Amino acid sequence: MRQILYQQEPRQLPELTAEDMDRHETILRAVKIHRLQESTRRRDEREAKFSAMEKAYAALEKLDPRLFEEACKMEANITFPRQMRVPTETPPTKIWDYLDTDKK
Amino acid sequence: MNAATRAFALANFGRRVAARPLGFLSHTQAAMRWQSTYTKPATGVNPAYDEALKVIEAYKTKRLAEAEIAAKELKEAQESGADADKISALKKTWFGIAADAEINDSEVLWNARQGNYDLNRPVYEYLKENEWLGRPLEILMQRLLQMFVLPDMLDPRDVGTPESQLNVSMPGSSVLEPGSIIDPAEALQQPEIELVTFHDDTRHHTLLMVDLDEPFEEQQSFREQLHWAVADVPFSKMQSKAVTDDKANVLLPYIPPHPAKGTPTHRYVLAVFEQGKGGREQLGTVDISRNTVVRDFVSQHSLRLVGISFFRASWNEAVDGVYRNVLKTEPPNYGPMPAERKDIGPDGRKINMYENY
Repeated sequence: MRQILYQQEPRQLPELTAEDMDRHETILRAVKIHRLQESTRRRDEREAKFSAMEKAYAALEKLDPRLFEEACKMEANITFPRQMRVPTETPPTKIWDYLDTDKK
Repeated sequence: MNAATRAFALANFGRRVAARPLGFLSHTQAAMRWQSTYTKPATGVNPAYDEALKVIEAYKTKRLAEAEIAAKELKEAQESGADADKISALKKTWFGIAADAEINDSEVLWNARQGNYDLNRPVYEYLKENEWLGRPLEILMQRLLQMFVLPDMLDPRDVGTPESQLNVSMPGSSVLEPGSIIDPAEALQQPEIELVTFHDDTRHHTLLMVDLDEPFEEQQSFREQLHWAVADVPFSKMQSKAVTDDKANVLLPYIPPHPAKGTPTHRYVLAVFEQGKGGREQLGTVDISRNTVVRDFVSQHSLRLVGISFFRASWNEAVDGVYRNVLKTEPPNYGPMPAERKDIGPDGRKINMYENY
């Protein structure tokens, strides 16, 4: 600790020219754009999934009221959902086939 | 300026429609080609920078495509004759997208920082207006209210916040900070007026210069006095300098400030009002005198304040010159008179204090 505090020189910040500062600010702006696009993409994906869920529930309500009621039920006092898959370090390459309507 | 304030400002742009004037151009501003003063930094030095340029370029291309779609929608709405609210909303959308497309460009930001705005491009319009809305407008409002210019001259509730920046500069000086104290000798000639607006159409404005603290002996108080009144002054996005010479409709010729000796510091307000019917109305000859009250004049001709600035001045020897040469009267003195000397006799010699001297 004494060596760090008293014997070592404090780190010098890199000296940037005006051109370097310009490049630095441009890079920061590009990072901001990239993060904004990523967050927009994730939000759109999330909202699409949720609206698909809502549409599925609405269709089920019209189709079969009993199944709809069962689907709306939520279990109380759960720690893990019963439907959750056991976590594994070797998952299959294809997790779920969205287009195969016969799968349970 | 971070992303949050920028996004907020973009969303609220258009509620009001700033920078340094480019030299001493007059109505030939539009004819001069705009020049950028930016030198690009070298590529190949920092690989992150080269990638950053690609990201910014891709974003710009995407947004410009969206802006084109918005522009097409706006054009269709304008041609099909939709109502004004819808058109203004579409215009705001297009403007926001067009400005956002180029705002990450280093060249644009550099030019804006130097005060070199190409107002044909939306991004520069946006940056210029935001520069005014940042500090200069706050300072102006602070000074106007602190020194009671607004309640004295106009109702603050009617004024709100002025939408345009008014740059007043005395001949031979730079732009005046609102509320600054100047030497009356600097203001013997009429100042140069610049109004920064963002509408493409030319609108007519009325320029008034008022002294709010002219002594009014009858009522032992102060009243307003108009020093200068010019009507039908055209301003537009490309024409920001005022045409106030012989070609203009000068209602009252310019009289330099003349704060009398013994009076408190006078406030001289320069105000630009948009004339009726969205600036299309022309005033021509009107009934006006040096003692017209500004509130009455404004309500009579349905004027709307768009730009305001003011300066202050006090008496000095130069002001006596103004009274004698311009106003052709003796300079008044409202200050204390020199005390009467009781120790000088009729022969001009000092009276002895003691009898047996």
